[in-house]
Amino acid sequence: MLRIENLSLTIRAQREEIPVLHSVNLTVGRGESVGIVGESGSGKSMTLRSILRIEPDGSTVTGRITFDGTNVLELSGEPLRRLRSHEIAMIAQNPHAVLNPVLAVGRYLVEGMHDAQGMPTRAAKLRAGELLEQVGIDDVDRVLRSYPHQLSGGMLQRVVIAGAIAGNPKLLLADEPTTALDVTTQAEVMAILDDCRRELGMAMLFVTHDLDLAAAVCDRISVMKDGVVVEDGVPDQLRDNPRHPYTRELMASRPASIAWHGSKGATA
Amino acid sequence: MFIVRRLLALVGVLIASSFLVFAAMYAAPGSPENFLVQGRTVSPDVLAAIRQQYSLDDPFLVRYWNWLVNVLQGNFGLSLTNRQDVGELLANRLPTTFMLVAMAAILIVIFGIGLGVIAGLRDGVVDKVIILTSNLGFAIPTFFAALILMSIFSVSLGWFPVFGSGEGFLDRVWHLTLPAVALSLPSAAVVARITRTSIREERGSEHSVMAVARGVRNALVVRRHVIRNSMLPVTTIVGVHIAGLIAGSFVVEYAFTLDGIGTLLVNAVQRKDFAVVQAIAIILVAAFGVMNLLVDLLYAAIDPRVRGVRA
Repeated sequence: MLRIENLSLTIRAQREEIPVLHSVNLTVGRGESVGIVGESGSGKSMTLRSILRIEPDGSTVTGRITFDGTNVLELSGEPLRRLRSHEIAMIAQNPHAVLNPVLAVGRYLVEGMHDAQGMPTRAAKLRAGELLEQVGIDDVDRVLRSYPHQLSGGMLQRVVIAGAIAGNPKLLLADEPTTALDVTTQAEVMAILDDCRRELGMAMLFVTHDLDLAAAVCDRISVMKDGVVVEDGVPDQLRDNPRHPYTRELMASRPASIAWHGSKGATA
Repeated sequence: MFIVRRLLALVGVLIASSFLVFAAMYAAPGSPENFLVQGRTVSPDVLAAIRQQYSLDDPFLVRYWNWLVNVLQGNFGLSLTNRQDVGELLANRLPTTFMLVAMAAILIVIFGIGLGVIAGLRDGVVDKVIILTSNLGFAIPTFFAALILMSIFSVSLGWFPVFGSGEGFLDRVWHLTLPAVALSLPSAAVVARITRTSIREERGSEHSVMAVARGVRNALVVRRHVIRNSMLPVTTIVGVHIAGLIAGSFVVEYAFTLDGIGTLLVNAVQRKDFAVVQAIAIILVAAFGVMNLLVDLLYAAIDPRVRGVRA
């Protein structure tokens, strides 16, 4: 369904060309969950953003990104807008930045359904309430009336998830959706995201620096470093038999893995 | 609640500044009675009589209190130079200044914000031209701009009058157009720059980018996310600049020989006419305060975080 071939991206900052991605190859099948794991600055987020063509101004993108057979990199105008509103939805890292601080939460949801997807305002307002219930929010009316600064990050990220699943897209792009949240709410939000995705049969491209988390929710994982996919495979294989030294490093740097290494060392 | 708090703060500022205004005049060198006798040698008896007539011998705080009570009743006292009622004097002059400032304010809002928004949204030539123009507008001193405008539009082209404030509304607008342009230039330039920067920042903001990513039409993203949010800092700057116009209008009034409170103030300061200077200073402070209050209210209307909306 989604096929990224030889994707390269260069950002221009102060007349300097900074290469960010080198020939990235990646596929996501229908209903499949694929993870991209890597450290900050490895190009994971940029890969996601180029799929929706929201890479920074002045970037050059080469290669192919095909979604259901059409090359996204050649899209513009109305077809591109339709792709964004109906086919692919994104959940970004910091929900407090994603929602406009001067608009009430309800407006955010209605904007997505009415202004982007063309649903009548009244229907969109009703649906907004249903969606919030679906992502586990109890006092729906209060949340809809609230402004972003009045709600916690976890609550807002649920709102963003509700907005993302509103149009029943085929693909969810999740860019470290729990990193900016309190540790206590991370698991909860992740569970909600994963449940919604499975229930609605959406595919997901999930970006994280947390290999364990990726292993838990993804069918396949690509490991990225410095704009290059260094290794990909199913979670078990990456964990038990990492081929690339960087993957091994990632495995070793997990907090939980210290004890695991210790016991391994004892038997060796 | 928000409004009440702001109003109380304004009253506090006015009281504090009225005291400063009153005190500053007495801290300045020279004394009013010396001016009143205009350098003639007079006997100490006469001086004492004058001092008594203007209650200059009362303790400072008593004089301040009496003055404040009178001002609150709209009684600014008599001019020391021509014994005219200061309130009346001001009432004759205020409309010109007020109209000049109002016209300049409108120009600042329309051209400052308008050009700033265009420059912020467009890249390339349009942006560069607007930046260049705004640099120019900011660099030219007001009195010089006044001279240039006069020589081009009044003397050479004859489109506008060279001096005077005019009679009746339309005539006034006609007379005050060039002064208002001269007055608004530097502020409009600054506002245009701030607006442009603010627009650019909002264009790159995550909520604007994500709105695009959600398939919201570009025109709507620009209107709802970029322009609306970029107006937060712009509101503050515009408010401060419009309030500052009242002080800046003095130069322009002088250049165009308008009979506003600016010329009145300059003359009053030269003659050490305490009553007039104090009255004008208080009006300036009050106008500044009211303007800031309006900005705060506007800000609150735009931004829920300022309204103090709590969870």
